[in-house]
Amino acid sequence: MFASDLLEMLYVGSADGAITALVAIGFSLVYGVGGVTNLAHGAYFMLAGYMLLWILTWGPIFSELIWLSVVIVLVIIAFIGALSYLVLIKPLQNSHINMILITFAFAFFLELIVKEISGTQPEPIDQYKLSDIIVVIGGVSMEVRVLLQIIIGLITVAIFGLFINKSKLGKSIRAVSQDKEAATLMGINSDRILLYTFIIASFLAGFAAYLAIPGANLMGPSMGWNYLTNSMAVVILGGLGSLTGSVVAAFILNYAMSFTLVFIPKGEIWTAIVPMVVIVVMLLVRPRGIFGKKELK
Amino acid sequence: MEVKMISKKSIKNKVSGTQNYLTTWIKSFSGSLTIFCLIILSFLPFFSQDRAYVSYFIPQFTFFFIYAIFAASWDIATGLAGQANFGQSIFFGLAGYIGGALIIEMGVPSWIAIIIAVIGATFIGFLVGIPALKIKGPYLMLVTLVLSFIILRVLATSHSGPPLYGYEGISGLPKLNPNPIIEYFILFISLIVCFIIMMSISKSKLGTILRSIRDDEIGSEASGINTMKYKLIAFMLCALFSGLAGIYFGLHYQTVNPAGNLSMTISFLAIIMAALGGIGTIRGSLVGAFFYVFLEFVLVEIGLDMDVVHIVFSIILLLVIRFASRGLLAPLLDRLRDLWDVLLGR
Repeated sequence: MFASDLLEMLYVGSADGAITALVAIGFSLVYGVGGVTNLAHGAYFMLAGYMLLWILTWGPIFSELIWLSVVIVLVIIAFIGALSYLVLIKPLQNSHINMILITFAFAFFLELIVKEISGTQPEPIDQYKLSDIIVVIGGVSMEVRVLLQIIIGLITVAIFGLFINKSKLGKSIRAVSQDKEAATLMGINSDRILLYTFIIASFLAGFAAYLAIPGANLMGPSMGWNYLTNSMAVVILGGLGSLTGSVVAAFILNYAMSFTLVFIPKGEIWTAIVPMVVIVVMLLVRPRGIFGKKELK
Repeated sequence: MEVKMISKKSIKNKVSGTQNYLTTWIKSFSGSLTIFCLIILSFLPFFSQDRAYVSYFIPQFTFFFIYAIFAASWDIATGLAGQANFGQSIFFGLAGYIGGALIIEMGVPSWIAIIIAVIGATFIGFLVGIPALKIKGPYLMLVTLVLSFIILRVLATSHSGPPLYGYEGISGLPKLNPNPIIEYFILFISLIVCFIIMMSISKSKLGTILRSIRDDEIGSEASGINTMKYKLIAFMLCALFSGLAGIYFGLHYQTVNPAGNLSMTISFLAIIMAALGGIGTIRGSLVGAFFYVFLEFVLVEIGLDMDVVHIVFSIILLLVIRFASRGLLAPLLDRLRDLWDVLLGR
């Protein structure tokens, strides 16, 4: 009984951990490069999930060509990410509080639009399932699509790590995040780099939505905030600017949450508190996170 | 003897100083505008005896008073002290819960319940302010935001009935006063008192200290300001006034529930009203709240759904922050002042 509970905890935690890692990497990237706390980051995830639903119910052409609709959704979400930087955030870079307020307003705007179109009820979206097969391992029934989700998520993170460490664009992104002025003096256009990071971040959030949502439910337009909170907790726990830190912290956080869900009575209420506790405790005890190098200012 | 003489003299000076200040203030542009608005507002309920006017149009002003206090309280913590607070609904909603529970469970008279609810909200502000001592900028904002989600979720998923009242919340609260006109005046006077207090805080030494913390925290700490103490004070002031607005709101609707009093929309309202008027200028909230309440009134009259109205306001908020980060009040006042000067031939 205990072993199967433990296995279920690992299963749920890994599934959520892979998704949270993908979302949190994008959030951490934008925060590290531009100092932008993008409160709309969770909304990208939510919007991508709902766009999958809309495009699916819109016409028969797209439900046949799954890969095409996924590509369209990812392109649109990356475009929205770029647009939100160019139109809203870039002109306000001098004023921190206005920047936060405008991303908050944008997230709220996206949420309300989705709410107006689809309502607040959770919607099942099964059509894009990666696989229908269910296997039973150690007394816990696991869906193959969730296992695939974990594997694909980790592979994506690995590719992203290679990209940020080896490619030229990745190197310039790291340069800007370490020292913006010096990078600008070396001939890197830091505004354009920030634009690219927004595109990458929203793309990753959209991709995470594609992995996580088919087969599960769309939990209403306000679900983006959960992912935003979790990403923030992951960034604080793992340390800013550390890719390994973000991935490890995403799994730690989600194991803690699934532990609460499985082992503690009335766990479904208390799971929401876990990220909050992590944020407050880490900021009070070790503000630079587990893998962080420099102090947060 | 000498000491007494001096103190008498200084009191006399102070009294005449206040008189002088008041007379110059009334003659000045903003003073005369304020007096003009006050006179209009105090005669407004008597313009018409029409039933729809009294029971439908006048309560809009009641909302305006409540929202103005609420938005200004957000402005104290965020605009004045720079402590980004996105969990304003915590104070607003919990004050309503405290007051409502006292009235329903213990049969306490409304005015005592209001006082206790405000004190309770101030204490909650103190508790929320404690992490704010250590946590800064975007983190603080996120912690307050998440805290409001958690409180909302805990209250919404609890069992109905005391102590947490569940999803339905508390209903059957008495009105502040059954007569809408008397209710209007109670809130009108509360608004005036609250704004006099908040404006004098903003102009006093305390306001200057809070602004210095907002502009440069390390610098103000270096010049001997106990930033911890003043940040806590800012949070408690913010909680005090939004608690007052929250309990008035609950008593006006006669019900307190998680969806109506604690949702994120409530925090959003405070932000949009303060941003419309101009962040950091306490009195801007008056313009913001007025603009919000009456645009909402008009949009609902046209027949728009409440969700659509909120979409319109989120677009307005995006536009205001993007293109007019000073808010609408300051440019408006500048234009009016120019006109005023032209009229007076200055």
